[in-house]
Amino acid sequence: MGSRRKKGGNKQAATPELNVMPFVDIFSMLNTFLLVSASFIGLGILEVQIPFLSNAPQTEEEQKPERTLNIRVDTEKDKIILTTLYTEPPEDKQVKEYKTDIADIERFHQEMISIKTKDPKSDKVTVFVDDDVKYDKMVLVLDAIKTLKENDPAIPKAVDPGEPAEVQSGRILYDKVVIGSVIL
Amino acid sequence: MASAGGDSGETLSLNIMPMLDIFSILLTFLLMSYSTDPVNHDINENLELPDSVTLVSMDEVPSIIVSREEVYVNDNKIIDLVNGKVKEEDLQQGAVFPVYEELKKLSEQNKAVAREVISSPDEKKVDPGSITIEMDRKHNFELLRRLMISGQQAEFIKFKLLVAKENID
Repeated sequence: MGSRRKKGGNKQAATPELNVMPFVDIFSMLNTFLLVSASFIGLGILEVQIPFLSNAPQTEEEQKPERTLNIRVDTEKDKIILTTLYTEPPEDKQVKEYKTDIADIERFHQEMISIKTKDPKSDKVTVFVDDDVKYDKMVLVLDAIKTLKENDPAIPKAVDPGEPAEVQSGRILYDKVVIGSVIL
Repeated sequence: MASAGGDSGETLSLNIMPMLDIFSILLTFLLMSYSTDPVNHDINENLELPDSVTLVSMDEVPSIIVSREEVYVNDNKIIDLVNGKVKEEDLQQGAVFPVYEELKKLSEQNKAVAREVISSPDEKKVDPGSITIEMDRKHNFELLRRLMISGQQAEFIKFKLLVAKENID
């Protein structure tokens, strides 16, 4: 199959022809296998924490007053309020408000990058979400807080071998997000 | 070229080159998008995941699945939802009580395994791990909050929200 004799002028010459049927067989098998096992949706995760009470004694390091930046994000049905405040004077409290449309969420994301660039030590964001906010809207806000997009500049940081590869790659903005609304 | 002979003596030939072209393109596409992730999970057909730009891939099968009308823990249906809300009789101290009961069992199992692995005498240092939640994008945060409170009461404090990656690696 796949080859035949052709007449070449008066002589009957055998013209070699490529037998493609084995290719077709392999392609069919591979295609069937790949189509069955293919997953067309990539599944990812967004890791968040909830507040918890601990009765473990504080270490000396923890007791030492240190000027750190508190970042709080209040997510309401139609607006996002970003509050930054230092724990020690000068507190330099700043409150900014954004709508929940794509353009404003991008502005909010750029502001988060700016905060991280100014204060690379800040690593935690506390998010408060209203009960009537849709889950997909909340995920958009979490994305804006946690992940750097392709066009965003990488944020230089010291590499900690214990951290996940995504964090080490510098494509994570704020890894630790606490959902403050989850309180008994 | 494949050919077949008929009764009349004519030879009919089938041109399989276009089929080969399609196969090649399909094969290239499938090989490019072939996922080698160790965890394979089929999304519940009654829910739609939110899109995300996250870079972190799923690393464990979801423990809690929240479809449009039901809540499952470890593939067991636990409660029905009414208009995306938990029925009053299932609520207790802000948590979803049947979900809490299931998560408590899971927490105890995880802690027992962790104790065997790390053989720590300190009970408080044993971490029950984290919970992966697969939830429909149209639910309100209220439902997620109640599920997280249920997890909190069962000693889980880390949650992984399952999302559909916008960029497939």
